[in-house]
Amino acid sequence: MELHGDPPVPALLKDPTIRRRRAIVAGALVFVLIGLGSLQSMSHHDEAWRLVDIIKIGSLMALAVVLSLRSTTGFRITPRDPALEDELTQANRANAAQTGFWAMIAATVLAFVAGLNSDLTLAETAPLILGVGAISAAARFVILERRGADD
Amino acid sequence: MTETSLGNRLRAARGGAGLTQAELAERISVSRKTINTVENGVFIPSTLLALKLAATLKMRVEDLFFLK
Repeated sequence: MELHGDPPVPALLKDPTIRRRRAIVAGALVFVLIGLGSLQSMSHHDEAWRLVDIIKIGSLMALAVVLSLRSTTGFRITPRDPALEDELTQANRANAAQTGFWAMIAATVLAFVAGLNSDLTLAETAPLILGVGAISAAARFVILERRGADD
Repeated sequence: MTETSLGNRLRAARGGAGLTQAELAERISVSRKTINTVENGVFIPSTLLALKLAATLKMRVEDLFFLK
């Protein structure tokens, strides 16, 4: 027997193995994109390193580590607001993460295809891919959260 | 295969108990949005939440939720 809703949000949570696998792939993708993007910009550097470049690369690498840890584990720098740990919010967050994951995968494929016929570098496309993933996840979360706002 | 969905009498039961969505939400430590989406059939609650709702409204869970 299957339960059908619009959509039945908890159904998205029923297979933790798939969710975990998606989180690991997304985390690895974030790490690889930002990490390789940073390395690529380092390799194009012919002049002496300036402080601003070191800070930029260091920040990107730190961002990659934090985002990878955040998307694959329960790691948090600050404690989460209990109001955001509500069952509905958890389900919405899982749903939004799924949307972000697939948007990021689609954007990666598009960037790869676009890269075949152009001189686009990973350093240029990585922020776009991450942006697509983050914005689509955020937009999906807002849409889902708004469903419960009105009576 | 017949499609089955989950129905509920939460709105009526809550009204009968004289509680607002916010009051019921506070009693079981969830947000008002959660109560609202359950009432509207948008969100299917976990077993734990369904049992908490039934206990708070002093009903059996199968009287509060049903298959349709």
